[in-house]
Amino acid sequence: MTDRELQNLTVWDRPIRLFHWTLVALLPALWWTAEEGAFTWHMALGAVALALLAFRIMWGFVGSSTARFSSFLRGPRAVAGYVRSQGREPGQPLIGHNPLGGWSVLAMLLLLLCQVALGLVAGDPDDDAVGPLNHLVSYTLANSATELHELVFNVIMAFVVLHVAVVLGHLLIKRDNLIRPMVTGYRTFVGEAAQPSAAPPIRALLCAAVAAGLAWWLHAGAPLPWN
Amino acid sequence: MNRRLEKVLAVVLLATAVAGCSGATEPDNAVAGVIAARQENFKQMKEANDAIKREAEADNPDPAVFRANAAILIERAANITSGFPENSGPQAGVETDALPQIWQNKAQFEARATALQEVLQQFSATAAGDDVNATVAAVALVGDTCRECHEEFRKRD
Repeated sequence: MTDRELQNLTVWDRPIRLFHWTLVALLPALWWTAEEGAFTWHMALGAVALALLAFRIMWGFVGSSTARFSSFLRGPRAVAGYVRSQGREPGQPLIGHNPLGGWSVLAMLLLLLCQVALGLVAGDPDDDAVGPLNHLVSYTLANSATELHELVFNVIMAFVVLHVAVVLGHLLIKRDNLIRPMVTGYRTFVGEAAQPSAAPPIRALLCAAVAAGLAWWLHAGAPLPWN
Repeated sequence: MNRRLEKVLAVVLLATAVAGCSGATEPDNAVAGVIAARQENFKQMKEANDAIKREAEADNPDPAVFRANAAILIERAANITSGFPENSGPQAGVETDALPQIWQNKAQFEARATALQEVLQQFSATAAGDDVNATVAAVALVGDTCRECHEEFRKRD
């Protein structure tokens, strides 16, 4: 491998890409179903979102190297170093999330988790639809959760706008296409770059099964055998 | 067919389409007003009941909150049946969650509205007394009455 040779590396594995683009489809659908009062659909889609997030968190510990939190959550020095390096010629090729992007990924994941948690308990049983765990909380809490659920959506939207703007900025200003790797999984690197390690597919299936089971159980109202 | 005839035909079709659009399906402004008013009425009732339910969960519920909101509920509950005149249902062309059953089972709908007024009077009387615990215990009955009517007469998804 010489300094000038091109190589195609798999940067994003299939589970990550599937997770990302399903979320892109889910968010407008979740908004629309809520706007139209189609709460049966809204809650079903919310359960899917919950499963996706549960999967992503597990995958962040056992997935391929670029998916793991340990690989893209970097300390303040790395973040500062990355920010300072913008505008200069890139040195080491970045494989996976850059230090700044990594933290924004975490922020978005936490916001979405928060939103799902609020939705689980939201609603007023005397009025209309209620989340599947609404019966477990006080009216006051459910009331606050409903209001926060609407507020947090706006915060999520702000992050989505920021995210899209930055990706477009990379594309148009830095001439760095981040979209294609998130679709195909591949990215071309010049010179030395280590192929990220992939996690075996069976692991993804197991995580997906656990995530789906958890989402199903919560959606059903978290029934316990002794109830 | 020749071009002139084609143009005349296009204009005639277009005019018919436009004329057809401003037909009987266009919402009547008066009906839209009635629907908006009843929705606002229910929204205010929800807010009053919200305040009651939150107060009922407080460590030391304040009877004044129960009394004041009960009064609001009583006043607004009296507006319910008059908010649903003939032809103000889904066919009116204005967005509403009112089900056709309201007009099909008018007697039942009005009976529920009356039942609500009775429950509210009871609640108000209890709240006027000194027994806060009794008032708190009575809170659920108000919400239950709201819910039962919704289940029968309001569009659920």
